[in-house]
Amino acid sequence: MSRRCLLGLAIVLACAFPALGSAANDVPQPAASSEPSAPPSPLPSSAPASASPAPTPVPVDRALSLLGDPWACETDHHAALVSAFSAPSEDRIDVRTTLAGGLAGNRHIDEAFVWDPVAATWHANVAGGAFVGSAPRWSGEVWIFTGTAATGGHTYNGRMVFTALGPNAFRRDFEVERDGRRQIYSLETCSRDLSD
Amino acid sequence: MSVAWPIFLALLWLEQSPPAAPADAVDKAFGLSGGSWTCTSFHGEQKIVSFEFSDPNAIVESRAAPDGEDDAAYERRFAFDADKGTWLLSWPSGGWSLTAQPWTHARWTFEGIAKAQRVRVTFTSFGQPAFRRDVETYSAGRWIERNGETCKRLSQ
Repeated sequence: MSRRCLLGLAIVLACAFPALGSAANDVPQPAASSEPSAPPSPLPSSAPASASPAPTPVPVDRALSLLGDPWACETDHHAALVSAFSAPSEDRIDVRTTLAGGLAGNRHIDEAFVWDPVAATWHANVAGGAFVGSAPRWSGEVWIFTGTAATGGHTYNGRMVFTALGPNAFRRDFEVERDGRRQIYSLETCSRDLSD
Repeated sequence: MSVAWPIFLALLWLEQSPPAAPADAVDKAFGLSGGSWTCTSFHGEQKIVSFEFSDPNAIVESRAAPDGEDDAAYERRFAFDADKGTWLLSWPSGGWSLTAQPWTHARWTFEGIAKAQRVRVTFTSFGQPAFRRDVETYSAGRWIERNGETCKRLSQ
């Protein structure tokens, strides 16, 4: 797998869209992680990081429903991933995504979602800055981060959009704004605990 | 009470009952009907999709724009062949036809030939409320995604 794919979040997967820019310069731009980390937190302090969330009712912040058992994910180009969401502290969710790498071994992509209690905002840093954005609590069907996406050597206004597909699945889109319109340049669907 | 009443009620019940599944009851294909779905393509386009029984062994898929305007050109027909135990997916306008086994696991995969090209349509179940659909063609030794969508049930 190419370096750009590895660094650009298999999901973000700049490799799928070479038209967005040159291949040589699309290493994601690191983002500063200056998010404050003071309470109050959207995460229940009594809940262990690995606790499985109840699928219903939807918690105050649906982001909590991402915690627990890992998610089996598939990109729009059928790359198989496993994403584990954990809460190392009350104001932070870490995501580690594993790609089966064959002879090269497994590869990992890391993300961090940090809660800013003053702004009541989540700040996301995906794959070392491949996407950086912010969003309010996840209270409805969709959870929309707005920010910037670094790909193909360029930085675009972009969005990362989670859409709930029932209690045990979600879709995540990565979008950039080009020529005045939004384009989905990569997406994944993730599921777990499906009984049927 | 007249003896006609039970007969009338029985007929009414039969009239309102959904068509019985002709095959294994766990075939998820039959769960597609009975309501609408909101589908978002991998390009972000939204449609309202319906699956309705045209007869007990066939489901017709139609779709409309979110504002309600029907996409009259779009029609997919899923017909179950009880003798063969297989589904046939056809495009009335395009002459394509793909076949699949009953949808008893997470994925439901249709495959066939269309215009001298191998085509595959895969449904992935996310339980009752949602599914993903991928449309791929086979080229140069591998499957290439042509279009896909995720769908959520709107109503039942």
